[in-house]
Amino acid sequence: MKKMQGLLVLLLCAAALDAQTVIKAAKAHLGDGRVVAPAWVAVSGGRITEVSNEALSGDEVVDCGAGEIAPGFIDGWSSAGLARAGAENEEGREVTPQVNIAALYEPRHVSVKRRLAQGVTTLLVRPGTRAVIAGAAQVVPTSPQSSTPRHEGAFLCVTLGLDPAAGNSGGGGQGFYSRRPNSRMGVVYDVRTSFTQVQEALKAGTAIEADWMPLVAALKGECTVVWYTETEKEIWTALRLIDELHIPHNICAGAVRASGAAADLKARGVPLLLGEQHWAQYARQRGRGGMDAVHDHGAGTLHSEHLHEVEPEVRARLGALAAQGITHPIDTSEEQLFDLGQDCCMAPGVGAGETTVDKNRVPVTTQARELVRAGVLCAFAGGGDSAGTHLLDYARLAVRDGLDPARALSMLTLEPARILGIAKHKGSLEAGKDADLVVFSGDPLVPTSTPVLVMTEGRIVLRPAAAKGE
Amino acid sequence: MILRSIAVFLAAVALVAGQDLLVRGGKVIPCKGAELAEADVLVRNGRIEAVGPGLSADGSATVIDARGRVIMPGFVLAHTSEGMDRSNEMVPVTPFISVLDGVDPSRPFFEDCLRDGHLTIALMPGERTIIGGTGVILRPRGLVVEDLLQVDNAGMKLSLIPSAGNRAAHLAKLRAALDDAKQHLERKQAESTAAASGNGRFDLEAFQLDRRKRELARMLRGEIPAWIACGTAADVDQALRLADEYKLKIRLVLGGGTWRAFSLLTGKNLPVILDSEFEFREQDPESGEEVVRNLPQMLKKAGVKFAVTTAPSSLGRRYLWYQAASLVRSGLTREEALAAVTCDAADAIGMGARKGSLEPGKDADILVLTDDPLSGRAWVETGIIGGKVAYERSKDPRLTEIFGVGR
Repeated sequence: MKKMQGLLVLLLCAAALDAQTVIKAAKAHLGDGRVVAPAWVAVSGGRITEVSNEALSGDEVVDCGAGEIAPGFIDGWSSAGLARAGAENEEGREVTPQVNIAALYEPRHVSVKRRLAQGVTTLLVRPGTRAVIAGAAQVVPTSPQSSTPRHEGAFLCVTLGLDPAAGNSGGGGQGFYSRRPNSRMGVVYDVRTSFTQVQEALKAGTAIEADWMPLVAALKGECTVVWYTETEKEIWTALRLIDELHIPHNICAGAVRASGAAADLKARGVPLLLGEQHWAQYARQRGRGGMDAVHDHGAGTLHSEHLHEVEPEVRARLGALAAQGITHPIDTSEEQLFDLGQDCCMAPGVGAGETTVDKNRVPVTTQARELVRAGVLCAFAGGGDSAGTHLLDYARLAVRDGLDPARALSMLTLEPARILGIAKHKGSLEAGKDADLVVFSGDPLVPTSTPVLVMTEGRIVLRPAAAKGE
Repeated sequence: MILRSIAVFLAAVALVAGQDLLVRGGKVIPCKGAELAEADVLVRNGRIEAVGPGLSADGSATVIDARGRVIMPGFVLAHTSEGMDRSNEMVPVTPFISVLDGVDPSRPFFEDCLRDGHLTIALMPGERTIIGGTGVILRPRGLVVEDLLQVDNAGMKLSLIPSAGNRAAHLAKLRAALDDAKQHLERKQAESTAAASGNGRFDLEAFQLDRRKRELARMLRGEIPAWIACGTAADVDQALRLADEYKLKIRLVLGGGTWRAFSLLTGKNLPVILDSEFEFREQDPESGEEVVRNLPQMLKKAGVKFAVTTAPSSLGRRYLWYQAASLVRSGLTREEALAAVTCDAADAIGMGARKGSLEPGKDADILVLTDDPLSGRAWVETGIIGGKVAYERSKDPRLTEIFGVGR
């Protein structure tokens, strides 16, 4: 009898899982650029079974009225769910390939729930950027009910740039507290040495410690290296190292001035994860243009050849200064230039720092257009918690900056799925793929629209108040 | 001789009259009154003369073609501490300083304001203070700070958010400063009465008030409002108490934690400015679950009109159009959302008579947008401040550089 009961429960569970749910909405954005309107999406057993513009029947039909369906969003560079912020690296060493961030990931953490409510259904959680070879990143679903993280793909994170050197002190090479790396060069040295040592051991056929096996996997193409490239400078370094070390699968994660490296990324076939957070951080560190830019770049920012761009009043004042013996700002020291700026050009759009355009202030949303135009495979990543920093906001603002709307949406769905190598299961509304989707009250790219339903692997986790089934 | 004077006079008149401007043929969102599908806005002497279809101006007027575009009033940024090198002094009680001395018009902030259509800016000291000093109302166009200035001394910034976490000490310091200024004012007033100045006119200057206490005295006399930053519901209650006790004219700058006190504001008709983040998140102390408070919705339910601010380091919240769209997401109507960044915002900063809507008699601060402000795709094509074209997107050097020529 007890056995029978158990069987019954099992059968009921299976039936519940195989029951067909149909989501009905005004429109479905499939993720690959195609649109179906009106739309019925049938879901069963955690997978999409059919997408149609004709009515489909199911055990439950959820009518989302004027809503529009999109595939669940994928954030390819996230620190959500890392409950202990600031402890995202094992900082005892610079090279920690054996560390896996999944050990720190908490699927029930509030930051994951917030992503889920925004319609983000998949994350690549990554380690922090304080270590040079920071360890493994992991693809995880944002739904806490999800059947354990699928071990799709393996990712090894490498940080270029100055983050791993931050806080390290040279101290003349003396003493316990003296630590490398202190510079960009030191960081690159650590990357190169680590990979070269493993390469030599492979060539010589000598035993390799278990700790170093992720590097072996990276060299053999069994795992993808994610290069954290804060600026275009690091993108070029990454591309050089990729060529030099013959690493087959790579992704760059970074944004500042990335469009400057578009042609090189395209030529090497390296995809890019674009995240505003990197840019914001960089902008904070370097100042935001204006007089800050003058300080950063020193004398020479205000080139005399730009003076024709400034307004007549400013020109007149500069003329007056010239009469006092200050001929061209370019000849002056930084301090003088600053004084000059204070004196003469205080107008928005015509100040000293404004005569040249500070490229650091070009947001990722604008760069997206340039990168797409250049043919680089890229996706938005690194979305934040609060309104105005959501992953979707990147796409919305990129559309305002001239990116094709269909492409903007695919940069949250199919493109990141492709980049992460999970497009077989994720990233578009297609029969056979995981039933990860989000329904918005209207066009997802219009900022007045809000998510009304989120489904992950066939389970509805957020539901419209007005449409609780039929 | 007389003829020549008349000629000069006429030339001067022509100069002023020559500033006439006609924005023609766009969809007009006046932010007070109904939207007009296709109408014109006529500007004379820096003010709006008329709004309606088929208006005409004389031949000398500048005509801006807005067909297929949207015409609306400039956005009003009701509270910010950007555009300065520092938002607060280190010393917590500094009623004698003015943000005017901290404003740097070359900061990209002002450039961004112009580009984003934030044509009226209430620039106040920050929140990390007790009495932070006086703020100003600016426009984002001009060579030097005097050019930017719309209203000097627009109010005194007080903060009830204890920076060191000690509320009692924070409030004690605030009261001590207020009491001190009050006593000083009363003493000077008594001296002045004894001296019998005659006409009975109260002139603060004549009292020879301590320079360091003068602005506080003006606040205590209700001549300038107190802008009170509140972080929690208790702060709101405290602000209302202070207003009552010291007879202050107040404007409230509210953080998310104040939501429990929204009902205290019902029916009071106080100027309210809401922080840039519209969702307030709290952890339920029992279950540990996160509870999200929809602040605009709660203010609406409490019957409180409000203005909203921006967060310049955010991707989206830096724009007032985005903030308005977020208000719609929060459940406000289109009209309510737009009002929070235009006419209601102007009211909240005491500029309602001059700014925030396209109505005859108001300052001609006008935007021509490429699209509907809530579409998320709109750019400011032309920005007009005081009847003069202050911004043209086609000539914006930064956008030209970013997007290339002929975008």
